[in-house]
Amino acid sequence: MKYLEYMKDIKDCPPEAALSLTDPVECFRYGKSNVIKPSDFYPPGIENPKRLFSKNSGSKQCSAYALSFFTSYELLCCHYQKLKKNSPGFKRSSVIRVTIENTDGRKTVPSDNGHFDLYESESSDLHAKAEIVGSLC
Amino acid sequence: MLSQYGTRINKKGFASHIWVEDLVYFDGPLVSLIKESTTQDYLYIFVDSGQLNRWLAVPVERDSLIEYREGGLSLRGVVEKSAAAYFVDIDGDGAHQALYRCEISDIPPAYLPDEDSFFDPSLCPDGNDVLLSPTRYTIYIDGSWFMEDWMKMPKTFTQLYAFIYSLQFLDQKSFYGQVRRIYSSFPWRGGFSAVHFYKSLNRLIPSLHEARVSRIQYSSPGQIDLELLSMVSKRADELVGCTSDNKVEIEQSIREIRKVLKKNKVSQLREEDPIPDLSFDQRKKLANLNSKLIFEMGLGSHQEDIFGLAGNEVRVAKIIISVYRRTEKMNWYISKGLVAR
Repeated sequence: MKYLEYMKDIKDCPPEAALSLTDPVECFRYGKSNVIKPSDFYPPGIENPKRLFSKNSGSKQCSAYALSFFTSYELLCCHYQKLKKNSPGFKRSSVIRVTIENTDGRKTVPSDNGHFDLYESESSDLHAKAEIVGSLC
Repeated sequence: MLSQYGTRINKKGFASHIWVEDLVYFDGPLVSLIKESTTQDYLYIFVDSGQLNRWLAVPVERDSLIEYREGGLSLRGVVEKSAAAYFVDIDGDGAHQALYRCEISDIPPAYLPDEDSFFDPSLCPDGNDVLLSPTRYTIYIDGSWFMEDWMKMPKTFTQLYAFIYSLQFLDQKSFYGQVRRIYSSFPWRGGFSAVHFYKSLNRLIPSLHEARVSRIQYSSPGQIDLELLSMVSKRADELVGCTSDNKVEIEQSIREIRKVLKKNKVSQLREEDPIPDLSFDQRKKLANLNSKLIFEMGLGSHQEDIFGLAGNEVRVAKIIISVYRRTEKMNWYISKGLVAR
C-alpha cells in the first residue's frame, strides 16, 4: 500500500470494507487544472496545505490516505455543484477519467452518491493512465 | 488567494476553538461546527486556499442552527444573520497563522456560500443524525434552596448529561475519536482528572445540545425548564434512579474495586506517578468487578464502549466510580425533597 507509514498507526486502515477489484472499473475524479499532474493523485492527508483545524486532527482518519472517485461523470458533476454552493473554497477545474484495475489497490463500496475510496497499491501509477474528459465550472 | 480582508486581530482566542463536527465534507472538512466556549458555536466555511487555508468563521446562535438544519435557512442566510465575520488562515499543520475581523456586509462575494446553500445530509458524514433539535425538559424543584445548591445541582446535572452524551453519539464518526481521546488521556490520580474529564466532555457538546435554561420558577413546588436533548437527559435520569435503587450492591462493588486498587498501590498514586502494571489475574479481577458495577448502575449496554474508550481497567474503575459519585449528589437532592425524581 502507498502511504503505509501514515496508515499503520490508524486502527482498521485500510478498512476491511475496501476490497480488491475483480474486474477493471472506469471511474472519475476531480482535477485541479486542465493539465493532469501527479499532485492530482495525492490523497488529502498528503496534499499541502491539508485542511485541518488542529494538529493531526483530520490526518488521523484512514480515508485521508485514500483517493476519492465517482462511479460516473454525471454523479461527479452533481456532487461538485452541491459542494461548491456551500464552500466557495472548493474549486476544481476538470474531470479526470481513469480505469482502475486489480493491481491498483483496494476500493470501498460506492455510496448512494457514487463516491468511493481507493487505497492505492504501492505499484499503482494512475497518473500515467488518466485523461481529462471534461471541465467543471 | 484573495488578499486579507478586515482588520487583523490577535489570533489567541480562536486558537482554542474546538472542532465539533463536519456539516459538509469532501476529502476533508468544508463546512464545520466549531465550539468556542460553553455558550458560543461557530460555523467555519472553507473559502480559499494557497499556502494557507482560509476559513470564514461566523458565530452562530442556536435558533439559526436549528433553522439551518430544518431547511428554513440557507448557509448564506446563517452568515448574513451573524453578528460578525472572521477570516481564519490556518496552515497545513492546523496552526492558526492569522485572524481578521470584518463586517458581514464587507465579506467579498467570492467568499459567500450560494443563496440556495441549504443543509444537505448527503454532504454530511453523519447524515441526518447531525444537529438534532433540542426539546423541553423540566426539573421539578421544591423546598428551600441555598445559593450553594443553585451552584452544585446544575453542575452535577451538567456533568452527568455530558457523560451520557459522550456515550450516546459514539456512532458518529466525527465524535468517537474525540471522546476516546478524553476517556484515555487523563491519569485519574487525584481530583484533577475528574474535574477535567467532565469539563472536556462538556466542551465536545455543541452549544445547540447543551442544557439552556428557558424558565425558572422558584416556589414550592417550582420548576426549571431547560432546552436540551431529552434522549440524553432521560438516560441520565434512568442512571440516577438505577444507582439509587441498587445503592447497596453498588457500594459493595466499589469497596471490592477499591481493595484491588489499594492492593496494587493505585489509590495512593500522585499525579506524576505512572499507573503500575497489574498482573493478569488482578486485571481480570478488576475487569469483572468493573463489569458488575457497570451493570448495577444500569449502564450495561455501554459496557463495551466504556472499556474500549478508557483503554485499561484502572481507568474504567476510576471513571465509573466518579460517575457514581455524581449520581449520589443528585440523589441527595432528591432525598432532601429539593428535586423530584
